[in-house]
Amino acid sequence: MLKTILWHSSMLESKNIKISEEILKAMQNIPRHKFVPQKLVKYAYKDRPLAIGFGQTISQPFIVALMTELLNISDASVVLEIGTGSGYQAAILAEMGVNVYSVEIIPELAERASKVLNILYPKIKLRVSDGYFGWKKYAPFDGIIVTAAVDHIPEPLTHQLKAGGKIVIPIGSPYTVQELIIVEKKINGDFILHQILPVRFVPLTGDH
Amino acid sequence: MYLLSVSVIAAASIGYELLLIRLMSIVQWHHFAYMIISLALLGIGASGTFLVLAKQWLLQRQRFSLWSFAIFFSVSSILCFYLVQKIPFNPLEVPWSALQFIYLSINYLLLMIPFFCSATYVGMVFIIFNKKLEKVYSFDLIGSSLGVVVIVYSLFVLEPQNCLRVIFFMGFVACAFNTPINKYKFLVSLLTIFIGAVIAYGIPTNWTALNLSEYKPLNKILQIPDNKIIREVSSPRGLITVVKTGRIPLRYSPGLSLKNPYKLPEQLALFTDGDSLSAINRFNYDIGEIGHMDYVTGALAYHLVKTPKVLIAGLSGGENILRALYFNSEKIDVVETNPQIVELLKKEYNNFSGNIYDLPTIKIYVGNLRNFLMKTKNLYDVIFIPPENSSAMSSVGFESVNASNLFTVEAIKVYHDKLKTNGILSITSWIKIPPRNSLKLFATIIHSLNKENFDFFEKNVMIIRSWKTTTLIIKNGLITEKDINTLKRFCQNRSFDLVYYPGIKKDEVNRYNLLEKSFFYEGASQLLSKDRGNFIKNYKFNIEPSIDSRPFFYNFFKWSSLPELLKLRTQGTVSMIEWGYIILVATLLIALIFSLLFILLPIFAFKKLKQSYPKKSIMSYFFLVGLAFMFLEIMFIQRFILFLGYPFYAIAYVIIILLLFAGIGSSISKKIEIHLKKIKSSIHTIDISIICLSTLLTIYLFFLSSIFNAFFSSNEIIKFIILVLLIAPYAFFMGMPFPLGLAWLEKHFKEGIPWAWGINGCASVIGAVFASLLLINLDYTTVTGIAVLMYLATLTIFRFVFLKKS
Repeated sequence: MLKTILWHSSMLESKNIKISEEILKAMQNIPRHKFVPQKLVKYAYKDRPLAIGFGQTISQPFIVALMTELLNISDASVVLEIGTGSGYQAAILAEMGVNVYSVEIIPELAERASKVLNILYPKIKLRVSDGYFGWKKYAPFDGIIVTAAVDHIPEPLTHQLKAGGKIVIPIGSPYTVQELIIVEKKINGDFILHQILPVRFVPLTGDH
Repeated sequence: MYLLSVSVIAAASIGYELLLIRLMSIVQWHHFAYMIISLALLGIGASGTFLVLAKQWLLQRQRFSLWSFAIFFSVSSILCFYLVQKIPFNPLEVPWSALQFIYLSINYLLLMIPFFCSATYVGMVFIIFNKKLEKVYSFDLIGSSLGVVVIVYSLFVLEPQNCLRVIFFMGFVACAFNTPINKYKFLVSLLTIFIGAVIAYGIPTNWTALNLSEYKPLNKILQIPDNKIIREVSSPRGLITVVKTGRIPLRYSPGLSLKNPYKLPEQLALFTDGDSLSAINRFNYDIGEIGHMDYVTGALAYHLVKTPKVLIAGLSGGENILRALYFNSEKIDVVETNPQIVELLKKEYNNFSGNIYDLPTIKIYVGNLRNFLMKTKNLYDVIFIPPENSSAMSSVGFESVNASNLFTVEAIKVYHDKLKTNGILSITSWIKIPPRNSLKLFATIIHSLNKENFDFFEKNVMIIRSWKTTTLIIKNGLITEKDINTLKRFCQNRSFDLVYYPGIKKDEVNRYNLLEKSFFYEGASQLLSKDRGNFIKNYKFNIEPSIDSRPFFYNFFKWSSLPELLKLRTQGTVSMIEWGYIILVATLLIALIFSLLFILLPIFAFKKLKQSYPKKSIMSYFFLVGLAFMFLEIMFIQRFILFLGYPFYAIAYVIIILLLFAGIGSSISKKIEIHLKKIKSSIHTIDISIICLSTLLTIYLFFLSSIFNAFFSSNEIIKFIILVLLIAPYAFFMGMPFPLGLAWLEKHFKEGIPWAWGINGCASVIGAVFASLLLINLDYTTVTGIAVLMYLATLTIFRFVFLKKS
């Protein structure tokens, strides 16, 4: 799995994006199979998304690595995750020493994820709630990862982001994720959106 | 009675086909539904092979066999659909998992069973009534025509899943004609129909229930606690669902600016076929409640023209009306294609929407935007086309094989002609990256409005974008300094990016929503340059202007890019592949392989016979007849979509009229032949049918567009009469070649009758898919020309092989 991630990562060098050692190490340490439904365990370390029920997926490992990289955070950073899903993304962040706050809208998914996370990373704070409003109590955050589908970027999230912080949002349906958006909050409070495109298709855009 | 039963089973079979397309579009996505059902129709081809092999055995127990196949059809129509829904097939996962291909195959193999049963039934009657083949075929076609009427009517009055009960019952009716019991035949038949009705009524609801894919937006929203469906309306046009959200409210405003300071009002979710979400906004006549309407790229039009008279394409949930109201529009006309959405919003959600539908300034017309504008004498300050109407909703290109007459060179001209001086055409579309739809739209607009005066066009257009949408503004007048200032202010206050305006500088673009390169600006500049031909040619996606004779706006597929995309499919190029097109090609290939098998297998069975027969000619004749028939059916459906404005009516009317008159043509083909023999004419019915058909089609090639143009603005009844007058004559002649071929077989090679039936079935499947592919790549004229050539080839075979043999 890590080899594939590194191979994907090498294609992004022209964009000055490189998956850091810390992320790769964290991914190596985390038993991904524990976040995957029993019947799909054999695919747990394949670089592909997997269905976890309720119309949700555990993202392709490369995308998890890339989103973590794009957050550009260090250990002891405070990160909010919107859409806990399987809990795998939260686990990666926690393994890197990040303080993770995670919000999940579907109670069954939250319950399933918390069972795994409570054992592996009890420090992660998780709650069932509407991610649209973020988690004001623990704001501001150094970074916010949104893994749920969005048609617009919720205003409360932009308020809960520290100046200089980043929101990372993937755009596209679960099995076709191809485009990541980074919302960067400037020191003066303005925002700039970076459309990291096409994150996994360098040759095509290179020709344009 | 047998003949009547053929009509009933044919009606049930075509009804089932149309119903499956509806049901599978709801539970899955349209194009996989199309693929599965096209391949399932190969059951007709399989029936031909089966009949060749098992004919003797079946004929020995003739009535029982017919009775059984009718029953099997009924039972399998319900059971197979039930089982298909149990298979965990996920179309989105196909590029990732080989297992999904197996699920896909099981899907269409299961659905093949009912079609196999009904086709075997009809094929058997062909064998039994080999002296009245033209009658059997005529009853088959007329029955199919009535089947369309029955299912369309059922879809209006019943929930789509309950229409399965109608199909089940029809199978039982066919069965009643063949009761194997000799005593009290009439009573037993009546009893069979009664039992069929009772069982159809009593089928457990969960057997027919629709299990939507868990990835469909409707299913996803229902996963959230307290969200529930509060209204559902169904018709052949779609299943409309309204969802009320609970603790976690819906907040739908695609592409809303990050600088929007307003809260979104309470919203209800409106879905069509479990997809295509739009929102019904609560409105209490407090304009402040809908301030967010000003924070999307589409709002620019209202900053450029104050208090406009506006025309909006599509009602959606009424959001675009609220936006027009927010900007004090003087008059708001809306054109919506689906009358059920109009009815629902006007009657049931008018109060929720602040009774805006009662306002005298708002008028809603049911129809197609382009047809409406061709009819109306009104001129508008703003013609507003929102993204719901201008973009492929799906992110994976499933729309690529859908014809759309809204965005062709000719359509843009119609919109432009209905603008007042200095009026604005505003078209917003979802962003696809790398850019495709917005550049194709721009190329189409340039081609439409820029034929004579290049400089003039350059000074009439502005383009902006957010991270989610692009908006193209075309002004019927020169863009002024004031317009440019308004544009810049609008974008700056909302963090939207400038893409193009007359005099734009490169350093003004790509500021807020940063792309690696300024793709949109560069694309727009290239399209405005003299080198645009080369740019379009070398672009990785098909962005050639869309035209009426090839109206596939959403097709961005280029064969030359496919190897690269497939090679990198696991790296995220999946979403860049136009899957609609690929699925069509895959369907054609699979259909070809199976057809080859079904067509060639009987030849081995014929080897036992001592009789000689021109196998290549028989194969070619019946294959070409089936292929040409479907070519014309598909081509005319596409053409009438433009004329009538409603895809649904075009499909239903064309199929009904075509099958009905083809059935009449078939029924009298033998009489004509007998008459010609009587007067000792050297001409045969086949000569008359093919020559008349070819002549008519050639005439249509030259005059059909003119006829359409002359009656475009006529009312629906006149248009329907025109449709009948245009289709009936050629359909009448189209119904003849197949029974004439069968009649020849009956005299010279009886064993070949079921074989011909199977060949024709396979050709119909291949013809439908192949015609769709050709229409995307060629144009109507070429496809019609190919169909004419195929018919002339059948005439040659008949004349020079069949008649010689006679």
